[in-house]
Amino acid sequence: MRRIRAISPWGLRTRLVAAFLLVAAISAVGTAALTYRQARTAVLTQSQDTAVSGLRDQLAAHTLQLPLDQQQLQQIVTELGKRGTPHGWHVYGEYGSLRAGSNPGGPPTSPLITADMRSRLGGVPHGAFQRTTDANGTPYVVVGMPATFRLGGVRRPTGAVFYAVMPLATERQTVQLMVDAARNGALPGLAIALVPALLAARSVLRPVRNLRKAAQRMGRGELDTRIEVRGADELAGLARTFNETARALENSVDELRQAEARARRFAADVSHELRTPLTGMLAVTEVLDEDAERLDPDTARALRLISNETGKLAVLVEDLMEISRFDARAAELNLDDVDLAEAVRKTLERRHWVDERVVTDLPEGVRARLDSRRFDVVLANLVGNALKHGGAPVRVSVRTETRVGGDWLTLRVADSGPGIAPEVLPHIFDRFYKADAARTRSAGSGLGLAITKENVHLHGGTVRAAAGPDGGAVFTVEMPLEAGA
Amino acid sequence: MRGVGGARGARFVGGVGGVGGVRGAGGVRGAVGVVALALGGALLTAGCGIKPTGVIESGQPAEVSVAMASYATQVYFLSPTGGLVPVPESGYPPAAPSDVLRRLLRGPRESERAAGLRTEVPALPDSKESGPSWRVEQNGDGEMTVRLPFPVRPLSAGAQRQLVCTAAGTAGAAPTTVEVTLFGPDGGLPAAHCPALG
Repeated sequence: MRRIRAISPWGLRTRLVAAFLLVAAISAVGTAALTYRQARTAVLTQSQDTAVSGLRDQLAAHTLQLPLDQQQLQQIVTELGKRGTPHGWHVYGEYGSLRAGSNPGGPPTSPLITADMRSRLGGVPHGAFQRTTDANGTPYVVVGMPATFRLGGVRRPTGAVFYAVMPLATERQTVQLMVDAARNGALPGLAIALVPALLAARSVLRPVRNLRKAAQRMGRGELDTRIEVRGADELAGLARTFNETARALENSVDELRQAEARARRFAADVSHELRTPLTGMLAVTEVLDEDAERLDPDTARALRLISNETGKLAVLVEDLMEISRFDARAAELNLDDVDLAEAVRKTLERRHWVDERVVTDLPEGVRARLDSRRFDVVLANLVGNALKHGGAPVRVSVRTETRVGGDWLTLRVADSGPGIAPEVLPHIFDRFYKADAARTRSAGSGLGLAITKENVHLHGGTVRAAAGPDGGAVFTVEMPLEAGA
Repeated sequence: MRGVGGARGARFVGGVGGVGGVRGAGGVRGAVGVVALALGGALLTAGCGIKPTGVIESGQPAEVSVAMASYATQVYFLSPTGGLVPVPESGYPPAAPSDVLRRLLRGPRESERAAGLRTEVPALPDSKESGPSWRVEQNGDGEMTVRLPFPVRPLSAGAQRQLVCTAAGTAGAAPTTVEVTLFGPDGGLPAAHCPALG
């Protein structure tokens, strides 16, 4: 129970929450990444396109005097440099071997203009741009724009090419902001996803927990346990099935109990009904016993047989009634304070087992709290059984010992007979169990040991039979010194 | 009861969407998570920042005005990298086609050389400059035959382009539509167009 309640690493809750978070993480990261890529592309495209068209438009406003000389090239470049887009740019012009840069006093060309860019613009006239980074890792966009002119309706290159080098610092900042925003948005998103994950896990786990508790209650015998069916999902279906099964089980168990109760009541009724006529018969046979001597021998023997059997029948009926009371749980303890040795001796005396057939080993002055009538029945049954089926001498010993929760007494009855066969031992306390199949008619009712066991149980103790170390059978009764305590 | 619980758990997780498996498949599940995380991380890190690109063409070139007379023709020289660079010839009256070619053979002037312009057409000794062998013929179908007083076969590709474009520019029509055949004392070259540049 406790082991199941502990949060296991791959328990249902962990797995549900993990699955939830995984889905949330994938969707958050995926959305953020796609949005970011799209936004970054848009930002950069806009900057690049603005730079390209800006350079093209501003260059178109100029009139070139071919061939260009250094002065004219420098003048155009300086003019273009002043009209940079909002971020500002540096413009470089190339014509033949002439080079000019817009940065006053700066270099006439830039290392960011790649050879690839120059060769691509040399032949085919079109605008072009290239994103690149300088030595410090700062991103730049380099726009290349050849100057062409119309000749006979056809565009001809002038041979002059202008380059604008523009830092993408603002764009980089914007892109970094977007990355930060995506990251800062994803983590709280995951944290928020934890809430529905836990709720979903709870909605699944609560019915499961209820089901487990109900099953445990059923196991303890509370067959009227039912689960509240909520919703219409699979778990509700399971709960419904559980309830139906529990109802069917309860009905079956009820029927069985009623049948058993009827059977026990029948046995009790039968024995009760038998007792009244038996009492009369016993009285009659006693009278007849006294008159038997005056009858002829055959009739006398028949009379004694009837008398004997009637006595056995009366014992059987008494035992049946006793066991019926146990079955009906009507048996009660009437506790007395008794001296153990005294109680044992009294039982033996009452049965006239005071000769050498019974040897006792009793502690003097030990007082116990028990039902003296039932203790008498227990001891009498055990000793009677030992004398009948075992053999003299029968040793009766009583010991006391201290255990956790109180003192216990151990009553041991050992006989000197042939002992009990091992296959018989488990059944020795069963009702009407006959150890010897041939000996179908014994003196006892066949209920003596069963009644003994019930009486010991009533005291909260146990009784067991075993083979003695020197042969013979040993019956051991262990029960609390203070019964019912 | 415990066994039943285990079976339920396995079936349930299967229903979540194949993310996990039965208890024994925890490793597979972990691997899926790791892959997903790695994928996300790769997406985030690889996609961050501004990446350099190659050269990307973007639209038309700039169209500038060039200060020259409407009747001017162009003489084509070569830039240091080998591109054709036109230089207007705006003298009045307009020069005859053969005069324009003579101008080309004389090579770039001082100001043009200062800009790094050069020519690959060999210069001629003065005696041949005004010989009768200069002839530029043009028929109505946009074909032009140019007879030159020097061998044309040894001419470099750059020199041929210079001659073809300069000659085509004198035709009055769009220079790229004119088909020019160069002839010299050593025979002719295949007919050629001035390369179309947009």
